[in-house]
Amino acid sequence: MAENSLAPLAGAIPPAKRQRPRFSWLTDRWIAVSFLTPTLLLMLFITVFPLVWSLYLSFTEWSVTRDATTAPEWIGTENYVELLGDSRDGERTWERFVITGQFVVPAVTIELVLGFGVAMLLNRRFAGRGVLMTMLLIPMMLSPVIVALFWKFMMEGSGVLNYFIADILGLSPVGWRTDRDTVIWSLILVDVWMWTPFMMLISLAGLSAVPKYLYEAAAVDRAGAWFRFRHITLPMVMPLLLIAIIFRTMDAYKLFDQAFVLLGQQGGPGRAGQTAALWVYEVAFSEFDTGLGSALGYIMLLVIVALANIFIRTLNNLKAEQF
Amino acid sequence: MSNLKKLLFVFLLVTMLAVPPALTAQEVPDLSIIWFAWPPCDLLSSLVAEYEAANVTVACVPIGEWRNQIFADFAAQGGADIPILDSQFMGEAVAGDFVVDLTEFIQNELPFDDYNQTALSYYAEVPQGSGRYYSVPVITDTRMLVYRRDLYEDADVQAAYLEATGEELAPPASLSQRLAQAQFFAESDVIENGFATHWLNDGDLVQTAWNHILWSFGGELWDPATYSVDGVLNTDVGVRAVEHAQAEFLTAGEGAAAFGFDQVVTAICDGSTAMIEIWFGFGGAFTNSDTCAQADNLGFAVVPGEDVHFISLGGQGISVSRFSENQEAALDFIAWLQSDETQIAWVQGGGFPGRNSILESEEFLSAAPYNPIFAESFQYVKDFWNIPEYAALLSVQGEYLNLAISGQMDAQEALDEIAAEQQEILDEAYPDGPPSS
Repeated sequence: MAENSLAPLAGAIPPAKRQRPRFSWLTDRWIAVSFLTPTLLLMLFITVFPLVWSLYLSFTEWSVTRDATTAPEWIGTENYVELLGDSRDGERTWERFVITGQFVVPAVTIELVLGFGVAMLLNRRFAGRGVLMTMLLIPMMLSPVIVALFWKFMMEGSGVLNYFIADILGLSPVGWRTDRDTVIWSLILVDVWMWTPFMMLISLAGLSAVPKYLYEAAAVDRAGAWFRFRHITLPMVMPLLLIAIIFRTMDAYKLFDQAFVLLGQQGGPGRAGQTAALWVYEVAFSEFDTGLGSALGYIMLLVIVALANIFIRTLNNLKAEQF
Repeated sequence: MSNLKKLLFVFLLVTMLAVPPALTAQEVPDLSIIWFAWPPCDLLSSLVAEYEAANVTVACVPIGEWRNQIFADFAAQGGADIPILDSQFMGEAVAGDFVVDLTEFIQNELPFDDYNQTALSYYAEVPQGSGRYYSVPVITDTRMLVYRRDLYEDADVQAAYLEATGEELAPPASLSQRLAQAQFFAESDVIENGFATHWLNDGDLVQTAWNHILWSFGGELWDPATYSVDGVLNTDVGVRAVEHAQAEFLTAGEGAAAFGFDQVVTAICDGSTAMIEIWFGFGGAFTNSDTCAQADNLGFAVVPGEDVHFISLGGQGISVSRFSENQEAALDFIAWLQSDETQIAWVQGGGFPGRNSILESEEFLSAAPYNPIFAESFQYVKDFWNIPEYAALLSVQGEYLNLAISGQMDAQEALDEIAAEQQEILDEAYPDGPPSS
């Protein structure tokens, strides 16, 4: 019916006036494609291509400076064998991953305990809570390089930390950046100062989401404080805490900027604070062993993927237990 | 979609793609220079403002990142038009074909015969003795001893020193004397610390502070004829040199294992230390009483030797990047920088020239109180590896030297570790022995 009623109208329009719209070729789809294509090409160029190219380089012997005019030489898995075997580089790789573990485990654990504890204290209404929270969050809002720089000054031999330790407390000064047994703890200290607020923030979000009626029910059953914490608070907050742990572990695992500024490329005396990321940097961008550096980068990537998988499985198991 | 939106889209697309010719047209070329952050780099930054034939910018990067930045730029076939390279970087830069051969330029356009031949050979000639030059000496440098002249001239201090050691107190004539004086001052009540230098493992800091101690004790880092380290470095002489540095380190005060340039300058300027050793290039830091509280009390001396006399070579040559699109303009700039007029301005601002006529000029000798001893010091200079494996060798040496000097590792053990690891690096790089040329 409708088609029939419009037919006479269509016929009434003179043929000369039926022009094509000026931008009829510019369809919505065309515009969408033209907007997306540069981004996709850029993504391919700056993300996917380097990933594939560095994977190829990891199977070659090549230096971007020394062999710039020659093609990379294919050597199969030799780089991986060298880095994971008994060679000097193999020993160093193992040592760097141990150092990274010695940093990550205590740092994230302390941040978790402190952050959760502070969140428990802040999880109630009191005057000045907003101001206090804002102040506590300041460290994580700063640039890691700036944070490392001012800790570097404070950790100098005659810096403010040693002033308190030696001049005020009368103890022996600490070689924060000069003693090979201490430098890892210096890294941990800076990281804890900077990232405990992050753990606190996530914990606080988790704590504020725990339904009040659970505590009321527990109070009716005369449950003690520890029981309430162990069987209500902790299980309810745990999924969020685990996400925070995943983020912090992955972030701490690839620690570079703070360590670089605080201890230098070699990670301080005897490389005692040289994390895996600093080691990759030294091999790839100081010694310019590009093939070996690429292989090292992929080993780091595999370790972090494995770690993330373990955490995500644990998280999923927790969720399955809860629901 | 409305026509208005489509028009707007087309307009945005055209705006993004169009490069207005007016913005790209320039009357003079842009030139960029990269060096490391120290007073001569600041001086160069102010000097280039006088150059009108190009817009010249100078990047003064932290010393620990200086080489990495330059070679990462080379790898990307870009970076600064004019890199200022350490002598040890030259082998790597030439092997990679990253810098322009300046032999004809330096011989025809510059006063070739006027250049200090030691500086020219170390900074520019690759391989040494080949007659091919890849840089022009932009700053000659070596190390100087800065001491508290007021203490050395104090009658009570002189008497106390005479009583303690049986010797007259004067700027040290040997490394052993320097150690004895450092220990005397560190144990005395007149000043807190004895001797400080940069023992930090960053860049080549600890290496260049220690190498000439080794050489002056009669030791060697390696045998450049056979590319041997094991058995050359880790000898009794090497151990003596490390133990000497350990003893001097103990007189430097708290945190000396992390002393870089800034901390060394501060150590003498804040009045806490009797003697320091640093590059002449930092000299300007000791003559301004606004920034150095002890400026009026300081004296300058030649760094002493021991069994023989060597001092680590500093200074750098200025090169032209092969990837520069303004190579001609870069050469014109270098010619201007090396002209008599600019060189006089350079030395009056605190720079050290590579040309003998300028080194001997009244303008240079009167420009700073330490300049007269520069010429004497420069005759003792000695340099170390300038092969492509430099960075790997340097890294190994820095790691163990810093540990040993700061007392966290036994001297012999440290030298054995250095020798073993450096030998492995060289053997791997040169399985058929040293290169023929």
